[in-house]
Amino acid sequence: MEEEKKIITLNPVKWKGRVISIACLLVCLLVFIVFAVSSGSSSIPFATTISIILSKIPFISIPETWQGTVETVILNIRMPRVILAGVTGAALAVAGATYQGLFRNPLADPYLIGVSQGAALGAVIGFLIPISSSFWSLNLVSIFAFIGGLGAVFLVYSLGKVGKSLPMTTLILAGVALGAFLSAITSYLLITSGESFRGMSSWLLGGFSSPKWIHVWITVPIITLGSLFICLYGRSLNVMQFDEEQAQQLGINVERTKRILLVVATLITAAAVSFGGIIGFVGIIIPHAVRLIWGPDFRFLLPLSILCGSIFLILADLLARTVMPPTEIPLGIVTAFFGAPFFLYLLRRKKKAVF
Amino acid sequence: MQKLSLKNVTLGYGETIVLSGIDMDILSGELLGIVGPNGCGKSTLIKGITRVIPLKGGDIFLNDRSIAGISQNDIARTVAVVPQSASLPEAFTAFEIVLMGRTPHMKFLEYEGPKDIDIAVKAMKMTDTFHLVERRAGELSGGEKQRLTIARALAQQPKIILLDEPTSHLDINYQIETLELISVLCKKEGLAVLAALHDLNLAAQYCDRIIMLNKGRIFNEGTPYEVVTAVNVKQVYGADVCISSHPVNRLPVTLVTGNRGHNGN
Repeated sequence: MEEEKKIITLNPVKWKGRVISIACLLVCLLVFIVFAVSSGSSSIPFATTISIILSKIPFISIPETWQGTVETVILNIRMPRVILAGVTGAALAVAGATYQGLFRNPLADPYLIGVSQGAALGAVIGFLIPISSSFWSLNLVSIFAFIGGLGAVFLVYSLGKVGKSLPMTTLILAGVALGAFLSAITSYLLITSGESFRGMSSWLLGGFSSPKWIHVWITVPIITLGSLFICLYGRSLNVMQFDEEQAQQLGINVERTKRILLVVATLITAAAVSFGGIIGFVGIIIPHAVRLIWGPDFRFLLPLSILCGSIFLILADLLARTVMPPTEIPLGIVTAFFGAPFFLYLLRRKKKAVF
Repeated sequence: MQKLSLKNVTLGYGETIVLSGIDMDILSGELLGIVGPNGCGKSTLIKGITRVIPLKGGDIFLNDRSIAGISQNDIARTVAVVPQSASLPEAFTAFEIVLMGRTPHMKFLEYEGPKDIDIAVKAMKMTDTFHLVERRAGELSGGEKQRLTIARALAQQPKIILLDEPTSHLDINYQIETLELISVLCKKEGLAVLAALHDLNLAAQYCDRIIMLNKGRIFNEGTPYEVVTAVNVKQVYGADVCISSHPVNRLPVTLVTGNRGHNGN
């Protein structure tokens, strides 16, 4: 009798609850986007914000009752910034979850194998190249950061490869060593940089101080496609939580899966870092928080991380620009200062094995 | 009728050759035991069959098709492995782990349906792990994990099952139950079974045929009577043992002689 009951209550996928959670988070995300766009040094009513956003959607006509400056603030200053924060958070969180799954290591984050150090070096070199400021809108720093991030991981990948296989431990070690080397160069350039030191160091702490729509158009497609693509590999990542040998014996093409996921996760991280700078904490903590609340199943962990990462970084960025105006706090400081206590609270509340 | 054939197989890691010139057939309805000293290549053999490590020579045929041309997923639909002391992800529940045995049968983006749940529940009942369903793998004992790995392999609904020391963490009761279960599946469902075993007594009691490996080669092959002999054990393991015959079924029994004298003092 009791056994029968057990089978009935046995719902391993926990479909409904998790799907409802995803839907709720999606709604939350939209609400927070509107909220973040409305808030700032000049507060704009919710209704106005929504009207302005809706008026830009084709086939919807809304009479214009607001001032032109308000529209400029919403559409050209705040909107790209909020969207950029959202996709960056999504990218870092999903890449973090992927890296943690691939390396079977709870301490893994998207920066584990050199993206951040490569991007930092690239960005610093970008700062040092003396090109007229009108060129800045094309963002030499971002381009160099992107190239630097990908280049560093490519180097780590080539160094870590043993024959045809890619042992994860070798990869981590190669990443740590190369990262230290690149950081040394970056630090040297920083202390000898003189005037541009302030700009560089604030870039390194992360933030979206001069967002432009062009940044959005570049990052959104890369990160959206990359993140959704990673979500398709949820089951493979689940099975890879056994060791690689067992995953292979359960029918997963382990080497191919590792390669694909590493490339895609690195690509979206590099895209995120090149405009947002090196924002710490999101990539490591959001996946763990999701795991604590919804469990370790990667098929849900990945999409939930995307949504939570997005919401988290939008709110963190909102705090960064509103807490002590007109000064902006670097985003990396906000994410750690507000995120860490919340995470510790979750950790204390649930004492089961998380990883 | 399922058949796994190894033809002149050489296996190893890097430059080191662990096994060479291995010829064997694993057939439906037969429980084949692999015995041999530590490091003789029992686990390597299982890794080679499932393509975890590449072949250095020879070929392996699954139903007369070379496994080199079969996808990893298709191999997993036919061949299941119970690894020696499997590492299980601690945060997953026992049921989720067994359900992952369904992986090779799932279509892209398909979720486990009632049929898969049913198969997993049956596999857990067969291995006496059903009471653990909602426990997390991190909370289980070595023996429970081992039985869970066997349940996962059964959920894979394989035609051929390879077991690497399936009884190493089990107490004597579960050793017997596990090997009983495997030999019943072998006879009733026509599974082909290859089991690497430490224990010569268990091998003699349950295996239809035994292959004794030594120094990377097949030393001897045949029925338990032919393989488990004092001369073979001395030559392969370097151990002096007495071989007696089991009082119930006359199969060979390996007896260890201690050095404490005749009275056991």
